[in-house]
Amino acid sequence: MNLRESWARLTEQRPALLVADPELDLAENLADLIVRARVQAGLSQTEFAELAGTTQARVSQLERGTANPTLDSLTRVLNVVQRLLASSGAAKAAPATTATFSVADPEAAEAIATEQTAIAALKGVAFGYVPVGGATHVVGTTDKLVRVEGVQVAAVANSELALAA
Amino acid sequence: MAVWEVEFYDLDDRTDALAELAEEVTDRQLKRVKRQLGRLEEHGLNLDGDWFKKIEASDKGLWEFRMTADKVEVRFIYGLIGHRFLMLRGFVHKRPNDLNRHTPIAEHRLADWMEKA
Repeated sequence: MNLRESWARLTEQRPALLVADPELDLAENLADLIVRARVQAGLSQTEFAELAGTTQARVSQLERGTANPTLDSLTRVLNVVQRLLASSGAAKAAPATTATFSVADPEAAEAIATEQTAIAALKGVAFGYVPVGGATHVVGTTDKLVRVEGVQVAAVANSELALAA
Repeated sequence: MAVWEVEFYDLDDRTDALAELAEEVTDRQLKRVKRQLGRLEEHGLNLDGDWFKKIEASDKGLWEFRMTADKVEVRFIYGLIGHRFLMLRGFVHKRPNDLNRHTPIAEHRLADWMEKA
């Protein structure tokens, strides 16, 4: 029995497996993105780690969705992912800018992250949100303005912007 | 058509090696396992890195697929047949000798599968 068939049978027995878990999905989507970028570039975990200024062990954790990276570390990894995907041609329609948004309101940040996770599934990019020093940051890759419930955040490379009404 | 396949050893008409592993883990851990198995199916041996480890104690060509699910180490012993990962025995890795305990089961299942194939 293949993975799809076996999983379908399991979900019949354990319906809770079908319940969405945004935190888990975010970590796993990020892991998918990193693995895809690394494999398409033909890099080992060690080579990827060197590009991202981190360790092989940390890349291994990220690829398993179990890492708890700092905002700085995550930004560096996403920058490498973006470069690799762009150079492999896999991200022709993908965004060109890595932006870090600083959002004071955690609920707004979560809304942005959730929306961008959905977009990520289509574009092959990743977004995440992490609480840092009292504020909540949204990290991702985009070349578009992000609009959530009437609130607009300008995307500027590697900068932090306050949420603007 | 996908290049790589992930197939689970059937224990009987209603159960397979993934369902067997599922009894050992929580729903959340199982979701994580499924996502990592999905990565195996998508990238196959190109995953490389520390995802795979040869089982030196076996002469049947068996390997481990090494996953982590919320701080729990999960292993699947498999045999590679062409582009098909035949997943024989999954377990939560708790003690150093766990692999030695599960490898004979995987070897027996591989022999059974080969006989039926």
